[in-house]
Amino acid sequence: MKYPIFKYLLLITGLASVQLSCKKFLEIDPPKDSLIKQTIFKSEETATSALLGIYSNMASSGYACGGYNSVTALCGLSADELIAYTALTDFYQNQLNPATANISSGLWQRPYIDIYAANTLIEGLGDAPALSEPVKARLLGESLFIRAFSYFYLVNLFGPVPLHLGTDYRANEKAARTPVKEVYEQILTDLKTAEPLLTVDYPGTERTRPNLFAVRALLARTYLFLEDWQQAAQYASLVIDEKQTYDLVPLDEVFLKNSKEAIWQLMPAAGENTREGNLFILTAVPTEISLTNAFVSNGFEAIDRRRKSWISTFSSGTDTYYYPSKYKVRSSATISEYSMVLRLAEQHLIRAEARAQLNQIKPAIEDLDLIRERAGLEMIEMTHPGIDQQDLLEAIQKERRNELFCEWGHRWLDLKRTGQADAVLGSIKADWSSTDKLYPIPQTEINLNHNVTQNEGY
Amino acid sequence: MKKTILTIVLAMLCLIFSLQSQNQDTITGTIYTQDRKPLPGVTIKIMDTDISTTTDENGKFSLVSKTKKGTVTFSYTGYETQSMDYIMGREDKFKIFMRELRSQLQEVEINAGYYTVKERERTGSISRVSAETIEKQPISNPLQALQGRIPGMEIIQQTGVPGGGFKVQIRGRSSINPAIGNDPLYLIDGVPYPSVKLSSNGADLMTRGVNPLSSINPGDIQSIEILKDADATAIYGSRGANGVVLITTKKGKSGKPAFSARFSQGGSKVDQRLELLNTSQYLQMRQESFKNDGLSPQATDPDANGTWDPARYTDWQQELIGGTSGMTTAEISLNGGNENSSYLISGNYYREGTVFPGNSGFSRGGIHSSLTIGSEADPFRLSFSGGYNHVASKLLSTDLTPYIFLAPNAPDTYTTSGKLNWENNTIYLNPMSFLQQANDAGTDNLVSNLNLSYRIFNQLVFSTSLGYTSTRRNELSKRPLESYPPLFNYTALNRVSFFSDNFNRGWIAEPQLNYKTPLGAAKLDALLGMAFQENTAQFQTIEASGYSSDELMDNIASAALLKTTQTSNTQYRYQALFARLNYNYTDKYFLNITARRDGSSRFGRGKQFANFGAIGAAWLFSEESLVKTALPFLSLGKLRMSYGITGNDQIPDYGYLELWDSSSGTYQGKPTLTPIRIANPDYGWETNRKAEAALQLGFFHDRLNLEIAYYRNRSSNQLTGIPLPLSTAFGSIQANLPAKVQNTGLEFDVNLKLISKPEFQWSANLNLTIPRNKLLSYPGLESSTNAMNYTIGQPLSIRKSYHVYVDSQTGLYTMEDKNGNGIMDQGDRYLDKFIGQNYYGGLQSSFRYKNFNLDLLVSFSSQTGINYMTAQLYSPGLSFINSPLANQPTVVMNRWQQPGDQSSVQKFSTGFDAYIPYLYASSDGGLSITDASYIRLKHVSLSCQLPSRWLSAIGIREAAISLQGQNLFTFSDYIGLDPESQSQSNLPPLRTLTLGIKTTF
Repeated sequence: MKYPIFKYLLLITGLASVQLSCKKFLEIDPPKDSLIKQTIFKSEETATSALLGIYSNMASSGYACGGYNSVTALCGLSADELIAYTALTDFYQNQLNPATANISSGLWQRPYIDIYAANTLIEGLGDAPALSEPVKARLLGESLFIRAFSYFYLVNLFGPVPLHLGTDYRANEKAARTPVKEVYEQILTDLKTAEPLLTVDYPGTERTRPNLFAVRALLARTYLFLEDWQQAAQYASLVIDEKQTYDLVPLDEVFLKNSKEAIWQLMPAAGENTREGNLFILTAVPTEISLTNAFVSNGFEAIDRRRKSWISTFSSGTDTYYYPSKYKVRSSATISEYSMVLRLAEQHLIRAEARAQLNQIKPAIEDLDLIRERAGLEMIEMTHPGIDQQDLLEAIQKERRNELFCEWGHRWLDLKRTGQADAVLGSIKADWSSTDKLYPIPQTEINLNHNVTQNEGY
Repeated sequence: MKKTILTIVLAMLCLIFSLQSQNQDTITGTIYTQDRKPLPGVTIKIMDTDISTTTDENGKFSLVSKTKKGTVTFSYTGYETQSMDYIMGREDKFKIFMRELRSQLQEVEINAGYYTVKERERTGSISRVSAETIEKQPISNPLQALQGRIPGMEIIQQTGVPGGGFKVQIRGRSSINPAIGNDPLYLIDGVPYPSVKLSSNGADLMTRGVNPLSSINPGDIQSIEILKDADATAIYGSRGANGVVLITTKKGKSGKPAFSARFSQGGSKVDQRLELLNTSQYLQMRQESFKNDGLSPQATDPDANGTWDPARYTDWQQELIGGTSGMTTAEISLNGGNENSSYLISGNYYREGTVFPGNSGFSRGGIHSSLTIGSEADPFRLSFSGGYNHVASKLLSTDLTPYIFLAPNAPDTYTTSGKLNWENNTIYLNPMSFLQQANDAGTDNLVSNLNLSYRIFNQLVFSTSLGYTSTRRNELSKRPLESYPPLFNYTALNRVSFFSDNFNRGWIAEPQLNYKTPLGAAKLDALLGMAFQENTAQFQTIEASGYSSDELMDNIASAALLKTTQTSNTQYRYQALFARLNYNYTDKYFLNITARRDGSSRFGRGKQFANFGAIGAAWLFSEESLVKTALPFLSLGKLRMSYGITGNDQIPDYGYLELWDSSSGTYQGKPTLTPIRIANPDYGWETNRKAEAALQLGFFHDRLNLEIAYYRNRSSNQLTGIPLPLSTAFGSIQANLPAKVQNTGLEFDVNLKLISKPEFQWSANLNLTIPRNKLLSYPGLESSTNAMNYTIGQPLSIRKSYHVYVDSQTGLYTMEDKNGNGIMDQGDRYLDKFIGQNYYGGLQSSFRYKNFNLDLLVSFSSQTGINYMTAQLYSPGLSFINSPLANQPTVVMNRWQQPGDQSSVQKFSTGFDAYIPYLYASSDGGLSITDASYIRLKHVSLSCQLPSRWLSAIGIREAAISLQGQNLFTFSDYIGLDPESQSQSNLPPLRTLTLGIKTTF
């Protein structure tokens, strides 16, 4: 019996094999859901998406999200604002362990991921002929700002940190910790490079991407932390003077999306309100976090409107629990609030403090009184017009405490930079020791990079 | 095209009918075994022609001869081939008695993938489990059938949940990165079958990664071959490094149509319990911990402050995982054929419940079919096999096992009216609420293979194997509001459904040329082939939330919000050229050379191709006349050796590209891109050099068979994710690590036929593996990122640990400050604690008395493992109201109580200053690493063949009743639920008992 068909089969398979065996068979396209690094800079749209990815990352989890693993919650616990009931007790008791995941993934790795993305943009934008100059400037300015912003928190939480200014992992994986002073110098350099690249405009009208004044606001804060009072006051003035864009608004409207007080807000993930509202607002006996009773009862004057507007209670039987209610929405399908990062009130407080340090008492009181007035408090100009420098500085710190509580760890950073941490926290925290001011470097970082040393006390 | 198909069909019909037509010049006869039973399936062939046939079920045959005289040969596997001359007309009927070969064992054809080889002549290390063994076990996944039976193969069932995950390793771990690629290559009828889990990340909580083989019906399997050494695996080149598992499905047998049916029913339970504190011990622990801390129970301690009835006791193990799961298996099959073609079609159904409360379960149904056309003599042969199965799994989203640690005085789970009890909205956890969180999945699985071969001339055969496989799994996992504590005050946004869709499909084409020729006293067998393979996989999970009602949660359209939470889209291509040359000199000396050139799309340009190969040799010294005279009792003596290089490409696709992912959400309503890894375009293949030497001996006509194998595998150019400091933004980077890992081992396999009388047979088998794993070299380990993970000269599975003791003054776990620098640092982790097996194996025994069969398998392992401490949520004495899983094993009662106490368990405490040392002691302190050796009665089956004289009256050919058990008893000092799976958060493998009947008509 003959099977001519098999001769064809043989031929077809043979030909197909030859056809397939050229190397092209192994050339596959990149996956459909991703882009390779090189393609990002081929269009303005994808390059912008890469930058927006940083913000969506920041808003979704980790140090900047305002929720569980954020600076807002964790630094609030380390200071005297918040109390933890379960898993975060180690922050509340200042008994941190270098292996704690909240530190390694939340506070440490997350800012470095943003820095990596920013560095990619900074490197890539240098050679991106497909992008127009204005778009390039905008993206570069924001990337530099993000890098500075990330290092600002890293250096304040951990002290000296590895300073990565490029994406080459071979250099980064061996980098030792850079002294605090040099990290700050880099922050200033980045911000000043960004300044001429940005304008007052917010792309897309909402205040959810940093603009020129976000850069200046952070410059003012950085100079304040460096105790360069002159510069701090000067940059704060640049922001405050932009009156047609920014203004102080009534207490209950401060944290609404795109409020006039906002210099920069992070937009929560699609369909969500803020992580702060979700974490703080109590609907049951707290199991995670609430305000400490002492913070509420010891610091606020009875007439302070912030005590009513920004602090709420949940009662169960005879127990009363306090929680920050700057954000009013725990969860809702309508999105009314965004997570505040930089706002005008802080700029007034920065300028007040810088002016007081420069012994410009009267202008300092003016700034302070703007904040006090909104809170319904008596104006210092009226009650203590002759206040001396020391008392004024103390009054400013007190105002910072009551204005900026449970926002971005302001209280924790203020206690540290003003040298008050040991006195204030030592008296109320049983296990406090002076070395708790710096968080431990994550153990894995040290295990994997022997050039990185641990902070004292861990 | 239509014409072509028509031609094929006509050709086939032609083939079938032409050979059935009768002719006058026929040779007929009957063939019997030595004990005078007719022998079906014997091949009868007229020498130097293509004319051949096989005997029917009565041993009869008839054959048409074209010539007046000639020689016919009679051959059958396991029997001596005979030949006889005939002259037409002189003798019209043959009556032949076939002599059984001395050892059937040595004549078994072993599937080696691209070729088959007789057990006696094999040069490589191949183990085999046949359908007989598989069918005796009440199992749902074919991997379970191999447990304890294959030397060098470690199979760990991760969970007792049906359809769940397995860890499989052949001859040890060869890659440094534990997360990457140590799975063997699975092939079903030559078609690569996926080994990566099918389930979404969400469903893994319950299933520990759904094993793809759970979609395969074990009853459809004819044999499973495990290829281990270089000689056997090098022909699989880059994918052979971790061994190869070949699954061959059942084919039809020639003969009258045989219809058979199998049915069994049974149940499963958790085999072992963990001794936990009862209420009075538990409260004693809690009270003592408050006392130790100088505190008293607060409002947030309802278990200890009297809110929860101190007299209540619930055995949560009984309540949550103490149920019995039903199990039903049903199979029917029809097979038959003639000398030119055979067919098989079978259907199967399997259902297994779970031991959890409620009605969860797993069911599988499907068909398997096989068609073979063309006999040995035909120039053209075709064989097709196809299997389709559907799996419906209705499980919970969460395994309830971790909740057995719930405080023993926790309130009832249901109110008297049958609703979930939330104690007037004061409690945060009710384990029964998870019963509301369904996780339903449907899996469709198709495996098909078509093999065509055409003999171009006598010794040269061209063949092509074409395969297609596809697996699709849809999951729906729901979190209705009803499943949450009311005090969370959750809203519609918390009603979340997860819709997952996993689609995996692949094809393979392998054209081959096979050439066989005698060369004087030698025989040469050569094979040349090519392989092309493609696999595409898509995965997607959509999170849907904001439902207005719990009832609507099956419908994605009813959700207010949709979000893609998990997505992947990969393509993998693979091509190869392979060859084999087998040289057999006088059936005494064997040489086997295999080679393969592989290219894979998982590597960057310029790194895609690599060469692999092996050489194997065997010497049957028992065939030497000197040995035959000197050692007449030696029925088999064989020495075999092999050496070769294989590779491993089990790394993620696209690893050489730096990818920015588009699925991480939007910002300002616009798409975003986020980096997902750092890229390294320059990495290449990982290579594994395998060497093996083995001695096979048979004594006293193979009454005693012994195989001792020594292997040494060295893998280098380690392809792993090298951990990077977190400040580089990503935890690791894919690269070749210039490190060497060595696996050596001794494998013993002893078969003993103790009694082999016609009425009574007793045989036993022992297999034993002594594996050793060692990190040989790691340039720059001390300064590398892995410094704290590995030690040169030690196994990869060590854990560098502190020396931990309970301080007799403070009562807390304390780490010895070994280097005396006053702080606890890496220098103090000086103990290398080993996790793994010292030796393991199985002892099988099989008895047969008349119609009764009894089979036993005892598996054993001497090992160290992870105990209960790792899964413990709290240190003894600590509890939190939102998750009161604070119960502890009774061993904690040996705790430190007062200064001066010498104890192995630290004091009871509610504080973090006790919790942190506990965490350290358990992890870096290595207290969670303890002896986990066990002996387990893995399998028992008792069956009875019903007497045929009863059956023939009602038209049944054969029938047997059997009682089968799996995981019946375990003996171990291990503290935990199961020494094999070593997990307290997963349901342990279950004890199963079934009763079944099998009939053939």
